Amino acid sequence: MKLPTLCCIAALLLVSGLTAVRAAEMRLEAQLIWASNTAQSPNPKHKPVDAEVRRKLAGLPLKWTHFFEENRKPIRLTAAPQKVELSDKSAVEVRQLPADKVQVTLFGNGKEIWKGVQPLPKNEILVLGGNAPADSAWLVTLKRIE
Amino acid sequence: MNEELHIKLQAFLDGELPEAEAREVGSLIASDADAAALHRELKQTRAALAGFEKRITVPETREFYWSKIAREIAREAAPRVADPQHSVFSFWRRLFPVAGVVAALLAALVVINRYDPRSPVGIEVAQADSDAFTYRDYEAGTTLVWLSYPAENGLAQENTAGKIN
Repeated sequence: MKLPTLCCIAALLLVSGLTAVRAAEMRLEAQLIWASNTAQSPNPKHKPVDAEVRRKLAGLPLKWTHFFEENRKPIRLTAAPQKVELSDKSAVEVRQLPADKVQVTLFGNGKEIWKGVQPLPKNEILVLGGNAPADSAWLVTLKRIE
Repeated sequence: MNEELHIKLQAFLDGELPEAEAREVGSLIASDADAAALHRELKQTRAALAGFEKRITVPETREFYWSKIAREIAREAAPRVADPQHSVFSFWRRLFPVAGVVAALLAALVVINRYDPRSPVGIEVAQADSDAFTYRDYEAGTTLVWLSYPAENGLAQENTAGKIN
């Protein structure tokens, strides 16, 4: 088989492979986290975040030392955007884009407060955060599992 | 009887030893019974094999046969001189299809990835929060986007009553 023919076949295989990667389903996990410098949360529903999340948050320039998980929701992305309620005041909508990217929309108290497009390879985490009363903070994390 | 001596005896029998060494081995055969026995055995073996060797003949004379082989080796070793007129066109003929395929691949990658060179930090914000800042921990694979959302509207419930302090 001649070289030009081989190149054409290789190109077709590569393009079809890239297209297949684009269409692969993403699985994420969203968490709502309360951050504080107190060792114990006043909310009995709160539980300390797991070790992996704690390790990742510790690497960020956050002044808080304790992180408590308030809610956790799995998200299975398909062609349509997926919205999950994390609390009665917060929700996050995620849409899968090509090349390992996601479009994230954060809702607070029913209103859209942030929207962005972010590369999110497997095992990486996107953290959205803001200040909360009593020198605490809220964090919404999106971790890609698959 | 060591192996070196064995080899020397064989070489002596084949007439391949220098004169001085041949004389030495000859003396050894005359004086050493083991050496003499081995020499005898090798001689007998050689004689037996000689009768079974089939003589191979070549179609031409020996000199002509080997000169043919030498000429063939020299011909294959000589560098091929390319025809200058055809080499340029054949090069471009090979290059164009490959260049076309590479261009198509690049176009496909751009379409699929929708590459935006204006986003060096990898975040494209459609609704800008002018006071938001972004931090990326490449080693841990973590991206932080800190929003200026009012603290009194905190999204997490820090107390059981669900009220904001």
